[in-house]
Amino acid sequence: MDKGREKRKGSVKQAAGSGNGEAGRRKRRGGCGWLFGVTAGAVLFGIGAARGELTVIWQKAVMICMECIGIG
Amino acid sequence: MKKRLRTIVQIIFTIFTNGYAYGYLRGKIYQGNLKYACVPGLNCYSCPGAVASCPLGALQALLNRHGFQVPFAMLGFFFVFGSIFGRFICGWLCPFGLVQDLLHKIPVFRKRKRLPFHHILEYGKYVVLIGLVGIGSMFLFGGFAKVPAFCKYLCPSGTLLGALPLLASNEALRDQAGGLFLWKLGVLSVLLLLSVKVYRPFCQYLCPLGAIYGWFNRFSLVQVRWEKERCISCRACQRACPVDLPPEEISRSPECIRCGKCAAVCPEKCVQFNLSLYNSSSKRI
Repeated sequence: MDKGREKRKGSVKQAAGSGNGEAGRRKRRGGCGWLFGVTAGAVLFGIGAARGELTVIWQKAVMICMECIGIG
Repeated sequence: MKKRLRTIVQIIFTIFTNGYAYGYLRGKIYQGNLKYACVPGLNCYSCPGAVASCPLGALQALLNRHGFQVPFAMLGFFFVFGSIFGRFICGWLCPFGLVQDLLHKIPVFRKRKRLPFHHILEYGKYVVLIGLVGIGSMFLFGGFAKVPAFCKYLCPSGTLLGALPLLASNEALRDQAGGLFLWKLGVLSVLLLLSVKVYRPFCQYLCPLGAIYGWFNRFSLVQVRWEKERCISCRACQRACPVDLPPEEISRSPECIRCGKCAAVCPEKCVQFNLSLYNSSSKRI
């Protein structure tokens, strides 16, 4: 009986510690979301660089952009 | 000093990213390899002092060139910077944000945080992002080439940081200025005048870069956290907030530019800048 009660107490403590419930879920999602974003961003950037997109950007950026200054 | 930290950071970053002095003297722009990279804030790459590219200009250049293909490099750029900083970039690292901040400090007029019909107008930046940056850059032609529609018709940073210094020092360009330049000068003038009365009208209602970074605010590494348990509901943070956000919305709202004014005035220190590291191990800056 006592063993069973202790077991239940232990499992409740574990649940609280691991951040179950709405608040815990929100905390976890917010916690590692940025890391996922940075990783995904690095992969996407790598794909873009491999496709030569940085050269397109450089070619545009080193010429005076007539549209940007209201002439073109 | 602590009160002015943000302004100091803004000024240093603006000088650092627009420090090509030779360009201002000769009416030319920097053409080196640093322009393969973009700065995180709105900073026209045709500014004579700009040492790197503008992220919105770069996105439109890719859309102009590749049409319906996904612009992977710029998506990746926005994911990396957005996931780390969110709209902290708008508050601390954007040169045009600095200009609006300084104008808002001029002690004339009774200051307003928002324009009337704010709840409708705040969606303007999403309309600009989809309409001008996205659809405009994919479909709008000027002659035989596609044009960067946002840069051409709206961008006030291009007029202020690019057009005015270039036209002032380059006579050949000055002779070509016509109706489009006057339109852009009008847009810039209205926004700058409005900035004296209303807090950052361009950022709140029109900036597509803010619309992009705002999406990352809810899970970015740099966070402003509000502890509900310790809050005494004095609303000092909301009164100090330049965009009038209540404390319960600060952390997740796409409108929060992470200026830190709420954290500075909170008497209980229950609103604080945080690094949202893995799980609950948040670390105060």
